[in-house]
Amino acid sequence: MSDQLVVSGAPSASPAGTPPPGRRTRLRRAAGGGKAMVVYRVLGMVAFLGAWELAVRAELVNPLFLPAPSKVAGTLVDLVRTGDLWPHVSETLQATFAGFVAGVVVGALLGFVIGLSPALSGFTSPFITMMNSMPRIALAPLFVLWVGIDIKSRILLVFSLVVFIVLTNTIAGTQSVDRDHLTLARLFSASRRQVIVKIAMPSVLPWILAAMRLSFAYALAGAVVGEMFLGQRGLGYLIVAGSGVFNISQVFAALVVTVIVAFLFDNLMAVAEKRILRWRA
Amino acid sequence: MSSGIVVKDVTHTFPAAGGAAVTAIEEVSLEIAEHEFVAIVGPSGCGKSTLLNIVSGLITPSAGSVTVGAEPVRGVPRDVGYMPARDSLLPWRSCLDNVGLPLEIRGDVSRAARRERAGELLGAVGLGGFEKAFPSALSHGMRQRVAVARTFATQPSVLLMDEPFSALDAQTKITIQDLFLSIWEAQHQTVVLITHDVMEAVALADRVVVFSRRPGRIKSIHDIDLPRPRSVQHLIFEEPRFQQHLRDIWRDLDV
Repeated sequence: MSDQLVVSGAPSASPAGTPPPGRRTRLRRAAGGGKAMVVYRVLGMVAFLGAWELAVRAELVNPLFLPAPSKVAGTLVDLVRTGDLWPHVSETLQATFAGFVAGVVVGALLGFVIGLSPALSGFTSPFITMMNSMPRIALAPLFVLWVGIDIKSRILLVFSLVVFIVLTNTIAGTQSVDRDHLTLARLFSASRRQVIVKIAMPSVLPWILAAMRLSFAYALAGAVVGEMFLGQRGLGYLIVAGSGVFNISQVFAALVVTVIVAFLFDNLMAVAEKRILRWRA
Repeated sequence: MSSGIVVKDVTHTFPAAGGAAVTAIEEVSLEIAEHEFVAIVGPSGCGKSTLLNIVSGLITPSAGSVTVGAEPVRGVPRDVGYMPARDSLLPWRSCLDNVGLPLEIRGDVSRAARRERAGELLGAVGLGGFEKAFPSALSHGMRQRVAVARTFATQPSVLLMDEPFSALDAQTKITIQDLFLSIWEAQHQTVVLITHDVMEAVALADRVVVFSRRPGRIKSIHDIDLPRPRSVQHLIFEEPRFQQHLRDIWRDLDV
């Protein structure tokens, strides 16, 4: 996977200063949308699923390879009703959140320390680039060797994906702290600790939040892919088990659950971000 | 404590990328009395901001000495309020917390006292009711008012101002200059104001120092004998002596 690792969507901290507010609000309005946009989205979704359903019913595609949405929904309802789904969801969520939280904490702390020290960031920059360009999913077998086949290896995989995204963004954030603010702090005779707490940390926060939103999708994908190779449980296991016996609607059902989890988390983060960064225009 | 400023034989040379060093200011000597308001004007790039950064302790001069009050300047002096060209408000802090920032950093007053003082200052700059507003919700002029309030927060005895009103449109500028004057005329800090705006220099200052082109040297000093309290608007439109000073200084300025 080619990671777009430095998030460009941290507007208040862009090195060139705050972009003109007019432009930003217009972009935001187009991206956010009002009530009408929600209706359009639902309509789009219905049209897409409807076309898919029709294509399967008209036998334009082989239902064995691509089951109709109604079939997928039925499978999903069954999985929920029998309770078979929950152990899998819980397994995936545990690996995702454990690795994600650890990755965010370590990435943010390390990124902050490295970013604040020109010597350290100069020293580490080629190594971080190297680690970043390594396809870390490919390390999964190594993780199994190191920590065993159970959930720990998947947590490690998720961690390895999240930590570098958060790390590079946090470093970029510390390096784009407004110079005027730093000068001002010097003129007020602020101590280094005060500069860090009162200027650097609040400046970097938007970058960390943006990295969290971005990296959660990677975390979830990491957990699912890990389960496909290494698991006896989890949504990834459901996918592999389903495709192994041509139960393709189970594959889609697991994918739908994955998408729902990602969607819910992203919305939660969007609300949290809006609340935490309410000082933005 | 006296808060006069003595600049003695100050020269500053910046090392340049190409190897040739750039001398920003050369052998500048200037005495500023306590409570005096001095404006420094000069062509752009004449080193006037360098002089201010030396007085504020941000830059150590290549040669010469600066004394603020009784103390030679080493590092940033505590009793100095600084007002930069851009407001530099912290966007994640409310107006009240921005004004209180220098007090918070100094850490010698309680949170309650700090908030009370910041509130009073916001009132004094005409922003009562905007305590909780974030800078992103304010206009340019309002943000600069917050910066004015912040400059006065620590009750400094010296104010150093680096083109503080230059980013404002003409009307807003006059309003805020008048606002600043009204606060200053009640307190009379020692002021060094760097500006490229001769009108601003004459309207606000007791003395205007004209710098030559780079390397900046003092070319001439003009005493501005206009009575206080002053109104910038009145001076600009109705005061013949104001016009006379303007002409005198223009003549000295190598623009």
